[in-house]
Amino acid sequence: MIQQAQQGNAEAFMTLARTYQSRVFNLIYRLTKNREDTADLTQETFLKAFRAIKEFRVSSSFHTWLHRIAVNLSLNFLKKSEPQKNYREYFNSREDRDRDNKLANNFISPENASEAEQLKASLEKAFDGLPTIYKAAFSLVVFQGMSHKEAAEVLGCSEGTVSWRIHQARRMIKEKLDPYFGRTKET
Amino acid sequence: MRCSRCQKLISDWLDGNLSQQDSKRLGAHLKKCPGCNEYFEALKVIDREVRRLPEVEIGDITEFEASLRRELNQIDQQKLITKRKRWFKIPVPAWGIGLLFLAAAIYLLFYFRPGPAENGQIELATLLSYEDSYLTLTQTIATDDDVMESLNQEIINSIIQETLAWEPDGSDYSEIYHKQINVINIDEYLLQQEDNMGFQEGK
Repeated sequence: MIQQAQQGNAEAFMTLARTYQSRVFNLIYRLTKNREDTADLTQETFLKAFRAIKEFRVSSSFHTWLHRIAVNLSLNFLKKSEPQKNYREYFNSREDRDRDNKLANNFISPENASEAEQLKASLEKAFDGLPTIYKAAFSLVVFQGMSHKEAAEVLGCSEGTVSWRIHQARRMIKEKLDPYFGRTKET
Repeated sequence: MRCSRCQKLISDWLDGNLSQQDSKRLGAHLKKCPGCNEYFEALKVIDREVRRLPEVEIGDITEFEASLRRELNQIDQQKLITKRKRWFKIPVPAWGIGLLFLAAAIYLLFYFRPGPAENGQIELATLLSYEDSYLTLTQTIATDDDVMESLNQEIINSIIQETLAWEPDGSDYSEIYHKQINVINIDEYLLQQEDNMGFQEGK
């Protein structure tokens, strides 16, 4: 199918697009959190892939190659569209902190039946607020099920960097959700 | 092991990216560190919940695919147009240089083709071989009287034929001459000529 697409067969490429469109859409959505932008970026990803498919080497993974295009487009888009939050901003948003404390109080309450939903909502918020490079690494490994090695290929960095970024993302999410779990003491 | 290191290993363990040796070290640390154990439990819950987050569906999949197909077809057409235009977009100097190279190639082709000089050499070689054959033939003929006579006869016949064919302006030859020649007996003809000459001299 890939070889047919490389020969300029648009139908063969459409079949490939159908296979991957949902995964690509979800990956981009995790980064942008906007449906319209996600739809545009997903389409742009496939168009760019179609234009460049002759350069794709069959020996490598099409899945990884396609995700690299998607991540690069998304990161460029986010770089232009919104300023990145740094670590301090992530934790110092008073509005977020108040909301999390409120949710945490509800979560702790045993009578509340929507504990899991609240945790999910806080979790999504915590994830959305992460720096984009952490979000990208986390999304590829946790949501897309890639290995650190594959994610490193997509992001163009080392496996160690991927591992470190995911660890940082988890630590930040955990810290954000500390009201639910209690603060961890480090030795 | 420091707790910061342990937390990093926990993250790797959750991703299934931890070596057996590090897994043992992590296990040993977790047994004796309640803080890291708490962190580990919290992260397990977070990881589980994160993985449970629902996937997002593309709103109108049909419209999405139709739009993508339209764009792909446009790219296809653009590619064709670009390919066609490329020929016409070649600048005039490039065409000129191209034609110059073509002319040079044609000239060189004719210049270096096998020339008459080589043919001349071949002809000379052929002539030399003919000469050798001729010498051999004449030597052979010289040793055989019958062959010599036959050859002489052939030569005379040949001369006569050529003489008959040759009719210069004014036609100096009389009918008798032609008749005499037609007899094709050069010996008699020559004797007759000698007789005539003697007759004339005597006269």
